[in-house]
Amino acid sequence: MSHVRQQIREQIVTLCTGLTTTGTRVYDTRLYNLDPADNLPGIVIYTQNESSEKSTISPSTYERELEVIIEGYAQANSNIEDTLDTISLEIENAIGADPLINGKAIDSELTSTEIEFTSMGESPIGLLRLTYRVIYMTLATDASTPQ
Amino acid sequence: MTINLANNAFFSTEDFAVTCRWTVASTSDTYQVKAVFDNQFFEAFDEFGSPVSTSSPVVYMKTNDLPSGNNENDTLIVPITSNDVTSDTTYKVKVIESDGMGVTTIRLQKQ
Repeated sequence: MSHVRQQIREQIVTLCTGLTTTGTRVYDTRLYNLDPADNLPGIVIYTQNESSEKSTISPSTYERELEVIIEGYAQANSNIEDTLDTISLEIENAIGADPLINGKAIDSELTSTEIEFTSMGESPIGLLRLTYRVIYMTLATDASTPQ
Repeated sequence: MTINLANNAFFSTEDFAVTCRWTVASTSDTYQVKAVFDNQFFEAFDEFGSPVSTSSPVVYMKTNDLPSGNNENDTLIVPITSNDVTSDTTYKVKVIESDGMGVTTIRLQKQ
């Protein structure tokens, strides 16, 4: 079985796949460049920092706080901020409808939203960055099963 | 060998320049201008999770050749040759940057 962190990331990919604006252009931890013609508007999902602390001693369990980053990208000559806000709306509604991430988490919350633009390309490109804090628990002896 | 160092040398259509059609938005007047087109690779958001590959279209031209009334959102049609085939590509003028030395860089948005 995979780590619960991986299960959570993959479940968020599932939740964000098929949204109206971005469709199937959802990428799990994409390390290489996005091509606007093929990949935008699209979403990139990855996990970043995780903190953890002992929650119970016997059995020994960890309570973990995981940062999940969801980035939406769009390219357009006009109304690009509207497109980013629509992507944000669709992602937030999808995750808001399943805040326990299919039972793998204790809770999740949106903790920050950042928006960036660049006009240096042949058309303006916008980036939306949603950061979610996902709280989950595992046994110290079994990081593959959510508690 | 004599090297021509005059500004004109760089903006000759026999060398690097192409003849573009510039339409001034406010008057709809169209001018033919000689400009050097460039479209270098550009990587957007390289400090975030996934960079986006694109290009950065610009033309360079003599400041004196800028059409009267030029402004942001004018239309520039550039003949671009690729694989020996030339076709027109339409851009909007977005930023006009004069270097104060007689040459202007114009940043473009592809339409």
